[in-house]
Formats: sequence, C-alpha cells, structure tokens
Amino acid sequence: MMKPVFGKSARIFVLASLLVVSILSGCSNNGEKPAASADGTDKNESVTVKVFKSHMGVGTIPDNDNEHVKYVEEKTGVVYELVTTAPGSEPTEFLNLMIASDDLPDILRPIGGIEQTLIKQGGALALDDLLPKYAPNVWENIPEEAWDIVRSASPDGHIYYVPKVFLVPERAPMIRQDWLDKVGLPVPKTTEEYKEVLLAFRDKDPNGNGKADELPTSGREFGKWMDHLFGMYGVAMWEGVPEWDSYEGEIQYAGVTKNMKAAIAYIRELYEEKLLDNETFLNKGDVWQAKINNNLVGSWYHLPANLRDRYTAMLKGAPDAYVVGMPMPKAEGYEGFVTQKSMGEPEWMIPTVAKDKAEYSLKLLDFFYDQSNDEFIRFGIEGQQHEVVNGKKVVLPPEDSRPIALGMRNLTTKEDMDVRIKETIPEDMQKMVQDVFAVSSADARRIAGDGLPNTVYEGFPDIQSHKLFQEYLTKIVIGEWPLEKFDEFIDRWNKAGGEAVTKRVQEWYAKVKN
Amino acid sequence: MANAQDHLEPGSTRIPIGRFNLMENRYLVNMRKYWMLYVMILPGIIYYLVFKYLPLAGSVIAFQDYQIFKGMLSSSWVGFANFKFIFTYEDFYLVLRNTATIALYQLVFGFPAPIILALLFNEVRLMLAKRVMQSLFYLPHFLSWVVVGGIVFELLSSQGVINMVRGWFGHETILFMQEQQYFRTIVVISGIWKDVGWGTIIYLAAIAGINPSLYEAAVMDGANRWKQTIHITLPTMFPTILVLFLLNIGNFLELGFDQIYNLLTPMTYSVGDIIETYVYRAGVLQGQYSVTTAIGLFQSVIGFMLLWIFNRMARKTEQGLW
Repeated sequence: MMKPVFGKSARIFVLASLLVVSILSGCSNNGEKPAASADGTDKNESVTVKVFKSHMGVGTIPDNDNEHVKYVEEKTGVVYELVTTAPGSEPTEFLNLMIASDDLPDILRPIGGIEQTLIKQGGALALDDLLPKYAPNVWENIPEEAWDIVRSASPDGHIYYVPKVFLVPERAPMIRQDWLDKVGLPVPKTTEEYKEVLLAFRDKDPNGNGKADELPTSGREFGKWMDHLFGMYGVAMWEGVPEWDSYEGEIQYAGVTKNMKAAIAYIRELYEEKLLDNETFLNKGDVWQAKINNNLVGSWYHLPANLRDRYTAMLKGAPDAYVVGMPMPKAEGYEGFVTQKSMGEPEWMIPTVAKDKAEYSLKLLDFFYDQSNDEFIRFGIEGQQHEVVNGKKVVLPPEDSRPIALGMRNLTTKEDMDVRIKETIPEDMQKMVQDVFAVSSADARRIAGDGLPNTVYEGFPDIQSHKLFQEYLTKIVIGEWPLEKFDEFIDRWNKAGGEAVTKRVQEWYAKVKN
Repeated sequence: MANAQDHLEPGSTRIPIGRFNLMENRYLVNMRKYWMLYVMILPGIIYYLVFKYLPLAGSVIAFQDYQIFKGMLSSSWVGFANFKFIFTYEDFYLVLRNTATIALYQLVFGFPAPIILALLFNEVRLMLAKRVMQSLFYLPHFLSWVVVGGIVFELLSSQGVINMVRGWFGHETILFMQEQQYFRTIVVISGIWKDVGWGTIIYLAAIAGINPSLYEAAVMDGANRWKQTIHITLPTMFPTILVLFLLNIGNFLELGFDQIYNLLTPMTYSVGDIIETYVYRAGVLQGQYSVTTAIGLFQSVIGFMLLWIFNRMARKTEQGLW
C-alpha cells in the first residue's frame, strides 16, 4: 500500500537535494565577489577590513559608528570590522568553517595550527615585500631573529605571518612569603631545602585555620602549571608540556631526557609525602585557582601578570598574605631555569584570497605597532575603554555591555611590561609583581626549540598531543607505576614516531642556526 | 506515469495494471486531505536531507588526501591509504577495544535502565508525584557533559560526598577519577544518570498505548501488579524495545565524544581512550580530515553490519526495522 508513496517521495527527495546542492554551491561561488570593492575607484573612501580574532573576552562587537573604529579610520583610512568566534563554538572549528565556506576574513589571527594548513595549501599570502612597504613599524619593531624563525616555519622560506614576540618571561615560580615567615624558614635555595619548606607548610598550619588542609604545592590536570618542579632539573617545560631544548649537545624532546627522569623521581617523592597536592592531576583550572585563592597552596607556578586577582582573593582570608618569586631551587648536578618562549608563535596572517586588501590590512596592523599611538591603543575612547579619575586615565574592566576595542599589537618588551604593570596593577601590589618578574627574569632562559613550527609533528598526532608522556608522567607520579617504567616510555615514544619527529626538529634547528 | 507501469515486473500480480492510476490518485486525494500531516513531517524530512543525507556525500574524502582549500572536487584520490594509516596506528586496537568494551557495558547496563524506570514510573499512583519525578529525571539530559563532568569530578574528589561517606566508616580516601579500574563504571553510571529519564519518554508512550481492557481481564484472573507487568506491560512494550535496541546497535561504536573526553584523564587513557578521543587528537588538532572521515566510515560500517545481523535475528521472532 505504502510503496508508491515512498517511490514518489523518493523522487521528491532527489529533487530537493539537488536544489540544496545547487544552493550550497551557489553560496561558495559568491565568495570571490568582495575583492572588487577593495581597490575602490574613489581613493578618498575608506576601505573596510575584516579582522578575525578569537578569545576576545566579554563585550559587544563594535559597529561602524563606534568611536574607536572611527578614530582608527581617521588615522589609517581603514574601517575595521571585528569578526570573532560565534558564541559557543570552538575557535579552531570556526576558523575551519570559514575556510571551507570560502568566507575568510582579510586578516586573521590563526589558532590551533591552522597557519600551517594555510601555508601548505597556498592559502597564505607571502608578506616579505609587503611588510616593509605598508607596515614599517611592524617590520622594524619585531627583531630580525623572530623574522628568521618565521621564515624557517615555511617550506619555501617566506614570511607568511607576523609573529608574537614576548621578550620577557611570562611565567614564574611563586611562594607565599607570609607562610615562610610563619614556619620560620627562608626562601629555599636547593631542592632539599624546598622539600623542607614544603614539609613545614604541610605540618605547621601556615594558613592558621587549625586544619591540616594545606597543599604545599599544586598543579593542574595533565601535569599543567607545575613547571617549577621540572625546571629545577633543567627540563624545558611550557605549561606542563615538554619542549625542545639542547641536551647533551643536541636538540631533544625534554620529555625523554635524564633530566626528566630525575624530575619525575623528585615529583613522585613529593606526591607520596603529600607535599604535592594529591589531586593535582584532577584539578581543573578553576579548582586549582580556587585552592590558591583560598589560602591552601604555598608554592605554585603561574603568570605574575595575573597575580592581582589571586592576591586580592587571598587577602580576604589572610590579611598579611604576601607573594614573592622563588628562584629555581638548585638540584645537585642539574642546571635549573625558567623556560622562556619568546617568539615564533603566529599572530597575524593574510589569506591569499584577501590579497587585494593586503595593503589596507597591513596599514591597520601598522597603526597598532606605531609607538606614537601607544596611548590610544592602551586607553581607547573615554567612557568605552577608560574613564578619567582625578585627571588620570584608568582602563575600564571589560563588561558585557561595552564594545570591545580591537588590539593587534602582540610585542612585549621589558618597557611594555613595566608600563603594563603600572597601568593594570593597583599601586599597592605593583612592587610585589615587579619583584616576582625580576626573580623569574634572572632564572629565565630561552630554549633552543623556541619558535619550532608544529609541522614537525605531521602524521604523529599522539606525539604532538604529548599523550604518551602525560600517561607515563601521571601514572608514575601517583605511584601506580614504578619509576623504571620511564625507560619503557622512552622506547615507546621513539617507536610511536618520536624518532622521526626528532629528526625533523634537528633539521629545522640546523636551518635556524645558520 | 506511464513508465511507472513499465517498471513493474512481468507477471506481477500485486498491483493490477489497470488499477494503478486509480491507486495513485487515491494517494493524491489522501495527501490533499491530510496535507497538514505532510506539512508537519516536512521539517523532519529537510533535517534528514540537509544534515544526514547530504553529508553522506562528504564520505568520499575518506578516499582522498583532502585539502580544505581545494575542496572535495579537486583534492587528490589516495584509495585506501587513509584506512591503512588507521589500521597500522600503534594504539588502534587498544582504542577499538576500549570503545567496544564501553559500548558493550553501556548496552548491557545502560539500555535496560530507562525500561525499568518507565515501568517504575508506571506504578506510581499519585499523578503529581509521577509528574514531578519525571521532570526531575529529565533535567540532567539538558546539561552539557562539561557540566556533568565537573559534577562527577566534584562528587568523587577527596572532599566529595563519596569520600566523605567513606570517611565516616573509616575508609581511606580514594581518588576515583585517577584509578583506571573505576573508569568504565563511572562512565556507565554517569551516562545512565544523565539520560535515563529522557529515555523513558518513548517507553511511557508505549505503555500509555496499552489497551486497559487487557489489565482488566488480568485482574479478573487474579493477577497482581507484578504479574500484570511481566505478562502484559512488558510483552506489549516489546516491539518498541526491539526497535530502540536496533537503532541503538546501529550506533554501537559511536559513544559520543563529549562524555568520555570530559571524564578522561591521562591516568585512565589505557581504558578510556576511545575512537572519538583519538579522532579529536588527529582530526581537530592536526586537521587530518581524511583520516578521521575514514574512521567515521569504519564506525558506520561496523554499526551497519551489527544492525543488519540483529535485524535478521529480530525478524525471526518479531518484526525488524525493515
């Protein structure tokens, strides 16, 4: 009975799907249209440039009438149109979607390794000649060394992106000075002394609440944000991920070195004696933060620039709280350091399809790298980005109702940092934060693998995701596996592609060195 | 519709040729009469077309070296290279085994749960209590796994409820989330907690459709509630259960990324790393669309094979899906 109906609807299905297909393909063909408006006949007319930037924080997207947009237009002749990830969608996926639907912005900040997809498939515009011409401030302010690293990240040696440059260390080991005072110990100088301090933190109730709830030191899931424990043994670590650095004369994955084994042995000891928070590998970011805020953690590793929020929370429970930077405790036979990655991460790139607008995109970018615009970039428009208190400009905290102001500069020098501390940290905390930076700067060292492009991992997702490392690290530390298992890890890592990746990294390093 | 007649096999007696046009007309009349029903089904049809049937065409990239800039039409063909890559992946069998094990647990423990709950709901006499409870059971379905994962981590943490209760009895604190022997149990239980209420909806509808006279007759014969459940409610629900079971088996290897990803830690990789989490690492992090599509295709083929087998078995006793 039903058969003929199905037959008929099947035919309708086919027709309908054909329709949908033609609509879809129609859409993607339209993608080539906007180029025409770029070289507009009227030279006086401003050009609109679509800027994609993810992780924008709270605030509304500014429209064309926004004063910030207007000011930038006045100065550069470019109207910026900010595009960001749709709410609730994953930034990498969103970018992929833009590529797939032929709807790329005119200039974008790549994430999730997308820059390599663009470079490899001819989707990125070479900027070698355009930068000096249209963005002289960008070209000159970024050190030559950084441009070299960018060149090394592409197979043909061209510059395909403007790199992020961070000339000061961003991270630091920190310790509670008030806790040290309470237990009567100085800032530890060696790993043994550090352990003693942690023992005292555990047993002598430094937070004074009468409960043995102190977590002498803590980290996060996957072994993130406990880099200080690795750094003591000279392991290059970046948020819990082993980096590439020189070991025994050659660039190596820090995860398979003797240093790493020694560090894991030490961390395992700390864990066993409950000196390392036993829930370290289960701590989500917010849980870990709450533990620090609530005066439960004595020593940790994080961004001093974010200390303000931590410290403000601490003061509620401990009015005499004080945080200092901890110089890397010395481990016998090892050269400890704070890992610094300064350059090479991609910050801005221009898709080939937006070639006609490249001139304007770069002019816009240059505006932000021009030092004479510093004040505007930092403070923006009164009432939207800052307010004037006692004749001084004060940056407003971001809020849902206020428009976001575009910022494109990602070049941080020591001077930038000093200025930023002065402007974003309340006066009574400035010295504390500066001191923490000073301590970590003294210990910081740029690693050999700084700027390594992620193409070296191609075809080996498990090496890139550090999955194997994380599994062995966590299982050995929590005592489920013996330390000897680490040798098995080295073996498995090499076989799973580590060896091939190491070769690529060494080739890359030879290229950069010359 | 002349050619429609040509398509009929010679000697076919099912639809006499002379009556065919008349039949067709009757359907047109029928459609016109119940056009509202047809309109109502339209969104569903469009949904399946756009989100299920159209993307099927995208499966061809499993046989390509897909380049996002070139698109499907101009990417080069590589045959089975992507499949070879998967099957030679060192941990593939581990990942497959984990997936199959968890899937089996979910089927054995997770599938009957809503049936039992629906039967229990059915026994609640007080309408208000039933409604309130149903709503409460539906709620977790609307939470995302990020939230539920957070709740699970919190409940099982050293300060969590479970360890607090253990503490009362003098037991030591166990960090459940980092012990691999608890992982699958946690996955299954949290999965049931989240979706059991939602799953009862169809069964409750099936129960509501049972003819009350059957129960009346059973009461006359002296059957108590338990006997009624066993001999009337369950057997009449059986076709519904079977259909849902078959639909379930078709997605056997597709556990869903969200749940596992939000519960997984490096310490439970050896039992919890599943196809979806691998696809995430290879696909999202490395942009290997072709490989991950190949994996998806593999999952679907397995699902289809299982579905086919179970459907055949089902047809022997009851009716299957087709």
